[in-house]
Amino acid sequence: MTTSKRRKPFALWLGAALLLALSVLAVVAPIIWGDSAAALSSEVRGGPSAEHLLGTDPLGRDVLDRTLVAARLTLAMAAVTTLIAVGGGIVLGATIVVAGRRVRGLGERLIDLMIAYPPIIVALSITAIFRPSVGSVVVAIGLAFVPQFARLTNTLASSVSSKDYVVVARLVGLRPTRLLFRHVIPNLAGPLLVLTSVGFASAIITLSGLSFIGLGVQEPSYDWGRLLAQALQDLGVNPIEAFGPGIAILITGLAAGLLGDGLNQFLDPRGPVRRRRRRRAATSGGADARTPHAALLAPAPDAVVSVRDLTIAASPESVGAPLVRGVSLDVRAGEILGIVGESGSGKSLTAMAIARLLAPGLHWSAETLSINGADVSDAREQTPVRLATDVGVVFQDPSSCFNPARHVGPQITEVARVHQGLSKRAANELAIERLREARVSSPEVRMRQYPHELSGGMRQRAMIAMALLTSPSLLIADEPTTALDVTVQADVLQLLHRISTTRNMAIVLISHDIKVVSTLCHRVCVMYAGRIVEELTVEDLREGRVCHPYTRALLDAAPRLEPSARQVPLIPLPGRPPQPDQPIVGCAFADRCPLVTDRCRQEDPALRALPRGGVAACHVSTGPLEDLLVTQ
Amino acid sequence: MSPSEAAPVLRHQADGFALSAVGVSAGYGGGRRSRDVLHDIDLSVPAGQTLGIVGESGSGKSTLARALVGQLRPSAGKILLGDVEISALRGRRLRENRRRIQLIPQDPYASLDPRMTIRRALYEAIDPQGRRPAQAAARISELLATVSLDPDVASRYPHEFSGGQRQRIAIARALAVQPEVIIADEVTSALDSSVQAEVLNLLRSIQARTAITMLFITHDLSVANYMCDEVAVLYLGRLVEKGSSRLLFSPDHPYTRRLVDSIPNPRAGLSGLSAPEITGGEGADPANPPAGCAFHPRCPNGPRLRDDRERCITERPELLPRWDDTGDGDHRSAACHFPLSEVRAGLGD
Repeated sequence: MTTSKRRKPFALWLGAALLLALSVLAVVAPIIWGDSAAALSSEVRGGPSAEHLLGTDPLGRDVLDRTLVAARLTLAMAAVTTLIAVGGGIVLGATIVVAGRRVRGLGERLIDLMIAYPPIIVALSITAIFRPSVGSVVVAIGLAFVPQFARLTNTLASSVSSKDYVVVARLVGLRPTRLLFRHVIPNLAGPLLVLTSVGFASAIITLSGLSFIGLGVQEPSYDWGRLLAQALQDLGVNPIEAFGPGIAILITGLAAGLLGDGLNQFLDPRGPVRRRRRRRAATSGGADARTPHAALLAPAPDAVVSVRDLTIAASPESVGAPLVRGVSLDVRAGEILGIVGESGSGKSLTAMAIARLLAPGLHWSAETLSINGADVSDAREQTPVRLATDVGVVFQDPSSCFNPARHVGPQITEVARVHQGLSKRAANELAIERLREARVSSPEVRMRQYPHELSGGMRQRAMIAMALLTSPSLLIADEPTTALDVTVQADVLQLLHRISTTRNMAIVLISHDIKVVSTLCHRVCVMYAGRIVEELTVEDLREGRVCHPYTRALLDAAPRLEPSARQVPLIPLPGRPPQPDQPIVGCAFADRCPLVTDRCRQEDPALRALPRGGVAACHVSTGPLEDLLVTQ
Repeated sequence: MSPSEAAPVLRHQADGFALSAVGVSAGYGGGRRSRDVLHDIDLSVPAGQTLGIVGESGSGKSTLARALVGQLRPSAGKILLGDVEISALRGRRLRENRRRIQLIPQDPYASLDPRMTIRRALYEAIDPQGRRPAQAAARISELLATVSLDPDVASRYPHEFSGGQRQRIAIARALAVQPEVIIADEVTSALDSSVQAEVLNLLRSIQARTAITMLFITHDLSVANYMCDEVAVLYLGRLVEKGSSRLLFSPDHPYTRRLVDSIPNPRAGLSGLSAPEITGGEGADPANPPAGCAFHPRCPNGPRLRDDRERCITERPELLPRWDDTGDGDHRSAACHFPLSEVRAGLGD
């Protein structure tokens, strides 16, 4: 059992300790150093000395003592200011959220209007109207910051109240006020805490600023701002004088920031959780699990892509099993290879490694990774330019792959212009040709449109056109139809098929949907927990001649559109795939497998040709599994 | 209109429907700028049965769900829940009746409050006023057992669960309210296929046990076929076909046909997929659908390809009964001037 334990955030403790120390200082400093801070001496504008560590001011008073004593007034003023700003802001913002539609609209406009005035101007105006004093300056700055907090509360609350869990809670019959206090406010707490701490820090700075220009604290009282103002006049003569109040403001701001940040992390149940890792030795698979796979495949000199023993890990010394373990595959020209598996099976990582688009921080190695015969397996090498033109990639979500602020055209032509040095005109002509090939209607118009003006299916076709621009020999399509409607999916699958035949192109199709894979592909690799567990022709897959219990389970779990399907219950796969931080001992599927034996729990099966036909990584299976329930 | 005002309520009750929508239109935006994306929906779910709502994105499936659970006030028509016209209620009366219909949202990662333990979430669903702690504890264990989760997990937070487990918690939470109707909005579309089967089977077994009425919204026709007694097909905010789920195997409306033929069918391979669309018809604006039959620009039998079908552009087809239930539960209505099957199809299965 993996236990999780809350990590105490370091920031929280440091921030809390600093603020506590500052508060204690604020209480005791005037008592201890009150007199000495007011004592005049003959040493005027003195530099640091044993007696006056931070020098003295124009009247010969000790700057260190005065800085310490000023903590009380400064911190008290900042606290009250923050209280006014945050309290007023939350009340105002939340009231507007729960109010009716008309009040809400009006209130939001009003806040927008108030926010248009910089807080410092508002504070200046208010203090200028009233007599400058500690009280008026605190109220003025507090009020000046209210609109910002109101706006933030309002924005955050509106976004939280449209969340599904608030909708569901409303359906349960919760009253609006209860809804606000139970679901909305707690989920605002984090950002609001951070903002409060930032607000506290900026309150100190603004207060000091006002004192600095003479509108805040008046003589004989003094805060850090006042001390700073004094120091500035002497800056040419005695620079050290500014050091004390300056550093005090800095430390206080830092402490407030740390505390807010730390509290936010601490209060969030999703916060940094440290998984106690299993201490068991990570005996992965054993050598037998890796080697024979490549040997099993007929050596394919005509392969466009050849991968042998690809391994991807989060870090070289990671505790768990690698994310991808010893994957080998070949794709020939004109062939569509499907890689199917659940989320976390490593199918996308494998494809991205082939395209050399793995996220930085992932470590990979391969015995062979060649594209068009050129070995690109040196992980340290920068992506060769050739690769950008040899491999085209189509991603799952076409809407996030185009820059929304640029026209579609220049984004499509970029590859050709950068890597092939085509002129703008030639690149445009090429792009229009490719768009037409991808069945994008009126391509000339589309080139000058923004991505949002295209429908989802159209964007995906445009992305396919972009991937084809440089006539790559390999196209990697990573869940290209998952975000699309079924009708559009059918069109895109047909398009991919046509591209592979007319261009004799190798395609790797990644999908979680075994039905999609078996409709389009020629050959299919089934991945589970980072390994290929079965490799088969699409004919075998369509006829259900599958050998690995996992593939069988995938087929049995997928609903079919057949009249009798309602009467035959689906067979769900029990359990969950191994988590990435768990080391895998034996066959990764053992815990969920109906055919499991003792051997499966000790030894990871190698991918091998089975006696009754088929290629699968299974100790038990001897050939096609008709039906797991019958076999048992 | 006025003589039939009371009629729908009476028919709805007499025929044993748990949930009915009568001429419901709904949309977004207030005042003069409001745009309906759902037009004139008539449908009824027989008590204890499952009605599937299928259609592409933008067809108004989720808007319909929101209107039915009272999250969105219809701009026309009424929604009847048992003996109550829920769309006419406000304030306290609405809150009381809301508990009779519960929603399981699509995204299990967004439907649970991240700062609430499972116990608190379920407790709140059992009793939003928080009055009876003693009974509630036993009920929470029972609910978690119903969805095959260990009662010990109640003290955990949502982020500690996988997608499938979260969806089971969301189901438990909906059941905790003891509703008469559950609306499941694309509940498996965010899940892996092996987990999907588990959630579907769970919902089926719950229904078999409790005879709860279910509205099952999905874009996946094979899932609809597995789950539903009846199916209603939405296109750009209008029902184009509805009837017993057998209609999926001999649709009358070309749009339903198109949906069915788009499902990847491994046995048939690529040749089993329908021919590519004649136009880039997808992406039509739901708030501004084409005139006449909204499907006519995409229709393979329609005016784009056949000269004799001008009628599809000028006249909107009504949703008319094709045949009634003659005892075998099979009935059908379609909104098409030229339905695909002129006579009732003989279904071998």
